[in-house]
Amino acid sequence: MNAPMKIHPLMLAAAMAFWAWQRGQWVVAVPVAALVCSSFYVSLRWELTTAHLTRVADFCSVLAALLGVFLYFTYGNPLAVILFFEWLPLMFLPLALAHAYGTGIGAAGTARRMHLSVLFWSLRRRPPRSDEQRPATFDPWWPYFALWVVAASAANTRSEWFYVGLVALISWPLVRVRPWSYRVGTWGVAFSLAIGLGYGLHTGLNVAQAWLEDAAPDWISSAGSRTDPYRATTDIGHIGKLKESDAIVLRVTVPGGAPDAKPPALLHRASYNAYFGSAWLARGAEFAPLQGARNHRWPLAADPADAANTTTAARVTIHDYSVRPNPLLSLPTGAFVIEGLNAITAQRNPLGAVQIVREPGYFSYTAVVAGNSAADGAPTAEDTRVPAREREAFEAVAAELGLAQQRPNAAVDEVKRFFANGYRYTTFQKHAPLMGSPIVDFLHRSKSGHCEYFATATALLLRAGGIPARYATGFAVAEKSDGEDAYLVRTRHAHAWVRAYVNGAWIDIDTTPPSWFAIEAEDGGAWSATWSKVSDLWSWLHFRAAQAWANSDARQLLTGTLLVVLPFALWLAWRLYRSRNSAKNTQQKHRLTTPTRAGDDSAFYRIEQRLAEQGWGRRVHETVRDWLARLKADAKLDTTSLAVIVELHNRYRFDPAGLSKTQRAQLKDAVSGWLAHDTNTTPT
Amino acid sequence: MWKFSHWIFSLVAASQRLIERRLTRAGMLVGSVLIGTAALGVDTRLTVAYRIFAFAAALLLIGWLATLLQRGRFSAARHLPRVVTAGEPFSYRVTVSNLANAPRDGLALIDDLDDPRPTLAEFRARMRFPTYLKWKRLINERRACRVDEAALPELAPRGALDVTVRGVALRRGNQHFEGMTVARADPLGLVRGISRLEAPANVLVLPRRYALPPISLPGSRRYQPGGVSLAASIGNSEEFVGLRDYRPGDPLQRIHWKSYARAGEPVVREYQDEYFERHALILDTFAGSAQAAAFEEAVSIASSLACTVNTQECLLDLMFVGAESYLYTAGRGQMTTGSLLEVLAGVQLCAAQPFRTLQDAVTARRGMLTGSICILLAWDDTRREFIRLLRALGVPVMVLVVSADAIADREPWLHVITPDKVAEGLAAL
Repeated sequence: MNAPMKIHPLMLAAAMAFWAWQRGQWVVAVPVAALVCSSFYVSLRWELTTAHLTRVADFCSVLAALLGVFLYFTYGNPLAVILFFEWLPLMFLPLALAHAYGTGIGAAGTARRMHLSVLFWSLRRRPPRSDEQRPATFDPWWPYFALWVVAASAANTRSEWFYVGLVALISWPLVRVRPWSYRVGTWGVAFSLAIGLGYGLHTGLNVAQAWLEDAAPDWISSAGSRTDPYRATTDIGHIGKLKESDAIVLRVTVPGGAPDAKPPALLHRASYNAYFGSAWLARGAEFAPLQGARNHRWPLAADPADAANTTTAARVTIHDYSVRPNPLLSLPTGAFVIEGLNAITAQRNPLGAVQIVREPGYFSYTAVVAGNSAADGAPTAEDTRVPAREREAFEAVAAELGLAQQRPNAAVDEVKRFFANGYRYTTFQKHAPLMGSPIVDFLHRSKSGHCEYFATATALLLRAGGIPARYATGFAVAEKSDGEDAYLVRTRHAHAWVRAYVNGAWIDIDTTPPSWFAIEAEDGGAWSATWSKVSDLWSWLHFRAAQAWANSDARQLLTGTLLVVLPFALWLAWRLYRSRNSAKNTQQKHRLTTPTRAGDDSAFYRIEQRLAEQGWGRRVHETVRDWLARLKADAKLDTTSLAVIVELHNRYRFDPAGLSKTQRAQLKDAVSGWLAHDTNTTPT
Repeated sequence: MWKFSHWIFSLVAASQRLIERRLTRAGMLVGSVLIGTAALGVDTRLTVAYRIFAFAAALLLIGWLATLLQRGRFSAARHLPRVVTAGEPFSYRVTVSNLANAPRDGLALIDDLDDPRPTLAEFRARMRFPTYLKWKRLINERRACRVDEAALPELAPRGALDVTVRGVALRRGNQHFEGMTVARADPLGLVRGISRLEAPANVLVLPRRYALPPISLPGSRRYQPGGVSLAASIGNSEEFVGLRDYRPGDPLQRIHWKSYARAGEPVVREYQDEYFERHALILDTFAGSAQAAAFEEAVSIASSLACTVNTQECLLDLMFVGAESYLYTAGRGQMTTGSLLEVLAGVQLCAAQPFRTLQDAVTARRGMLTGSICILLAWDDTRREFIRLLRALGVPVMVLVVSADAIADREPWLHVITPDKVAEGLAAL
């Protein structure tokens, strides 16, 4: 390995410029680059030891941790992680500057280095024994350079120029580090191959992820919390066990309601009108902006005829954890106004999905509900179409039940009865469908499945009976929180049902056996239950902190901040206390292990110190005897008593036999006596 | 669990070794970026870190492929010292030759010491519960030396040069060197191709030594009838050697009165004759592996004493029990101090024999001994009895107990040294 290569300041500047280019933060990057790079050209330096750098590194770590907490509560994952990486180089800027303008370690002319223990706590606790290991050091500029480059990638500008910039940036140090015994051509070929391979690899990775997401069942991509208003890929036909997570996605409260007031059982997110393969699509359902918003109040439909209804109507508040900048709202059926929604824009499609664009962070909204029918768009031809593959089977069942001959209300009841008898809920599919279409297989053979089977089969059966029906998705609200007056909605509460057009209104029809909720809840062991409790507590803390942050209630904010900051402050205080202690220990250890001069702890030095404070200090190379003579002559000090002390001191210092215990006590007493007496006879 | 943890720890250690050998510093940075961006770029839609990941992976991959194509032809000769001392740095020269007709740079020389990873049996025997920290400690205990990688300057075609390799001796014992590796960076300077050269060698690491204050050894001189028949300077010559402090048993006519008057303490003239001192340095080897640290310090103290005692003027018998009872005598033309240290470098704890073996070996030689220094690992009844017996037999004894345990009601002449404060303990002798 050759001597470590020094970084060129312009390389650092280039990495920072790369970050600024990707992030559009030139205002930040230019001063930072100027500050850091100028340290290479100016000779201004502060005397900073490794202990100082360690403290700066601790400060940076706390800063980074606080940033992490702030981002997590404001933006949630994964945005918080991305933003954290994006700003990480700036969190470590104090350390970089301390290194840049500190005296540092390392031989003159070589790259100044930093002890690895500055960054790694584990190395600090067990300092290496000097005779066995030298403390590990490194040149921090290279990792810092890499940190800026990696941080630039978090900006996620999908331009091809990113790769071009990256290659240009990396090629510079690579040219300098290359072994010169190879031909330039060899290096060129190797580097070109790496560029090509890197490009192919990253394109392949991108494609592979897209393919994986398409191929994987919907539950892997956590469909519950990420609803696509245009397409709902179901797990119909999927073999094996279906298991959603216990993560809380919504909290639902009933403002101003009675203590035992229950929110609506279903919260609707999106509906779909076309079944194809095993997916439901929203065809011809273009979004249109919601008009007439005032004071965070978004009307969804014309107010009910009775104006008093608006004030007396039921209200449901939904606290949303979605980290997406454009989430779909979860609304109860019959919602005609959304209040308290802090959105930039909101839009709605004819199938009842409401999508907003908002600032990142926690958000909540209150739905004002009247009636139990949805004000969705009028039925279209799509709402009555049964796919050719399933048509025969469903029409046969519809005919058998005589749906077409019944009034819509009676037909709906008939369908409900049909699925209540002989069909059961399960999250496990043992076999692949034997009858071609999985939904036909469910209808005729297996008669068991999860909510997607029931909703799809119900929708198709109603359509076969001539009743327009849509496949609706959202959440079931049934779990009351133990510790607060709220209902919890988890990922596993994601549900599918049917919206049928009966007597001129869209009503919800849920044919999934009610046992589904209990089966989902039981679907886990003791460990899962414990974990769920811990995760719920964390979710509650997160919710309270995020709510306090969003509402900016000063008192709550202060308490929250204290809760978060206090452990850090305590930790920092402990660290500082410990570092002071360990410094003391090291000093003591040093005293014990290095050969000390005999008599170094002589009490006489107290007199020397006292006289030095008074301006009569002993000069370098001046013997005690000469010093006393000088004091006698110049300071007119009576040195008679001092002579006895000096005699004892000299014996303590230089006599191989040293002083006995009694003599040492004598010396100590004499010194104390002299010092006490001296306060009145200070030399002039 | 033991098998699995041993396997996984071995794997981690081997991977670490592989990374250290196969990557240059620049390569390690690229590797770190690879790991960091793998975590950050796992979702390719959220960041473009996966592009950095892909480029870093491509650089390392191409670098590695390039090392497969290159063929380094080198030879090397190592000029090792025979012995080194634990706790001390050492250096040696290695001559490296380039056998190719082209220049070579980006080179490093790595000395391959034998594998310090413990076997499964040892791993089980030494740990109550397998943790990586303990595994690391075990590995460190098994390594007698650490040798740094040496950077090589550019080698001319068919050229050779000398390079100084530095290392540190960590603990006493034998260090086996398996061979040498010349590592050469790939054209990108990230991955290293390695050429292994067979060069087995051994270095003996002598025990760590402490600075000792001047020690007045117990006992007086004894007549040594034929005990040192091989002594080079034996005889009745009255040749003056020097002055030294009076010891009980010195004849009064040997007192140097002028010096006595000056120093206030009796000082005697010393002559070279057949009356000389013979001290026993008795090392206790009877302890369990839990006291291994104390035993190591005891060996270090024995080495320090062996070096401090002037064996030109007296004989020093090193006595200890291993597979059997051993006696090595240094001084007056017998073994040198260095040889004693080499013996001490190999002393091991004894589990097969009782303490009585040592007691018998010492008491058998009581007639010849001027005095003895006993370095014990505990102060139990057996050892108390042993020391009482020696004192009863008239052999002056200096007793040092190396133990971390506190000893209640200890005798005033007993020196207790705690293993982590040996220097301080010895300074107080």
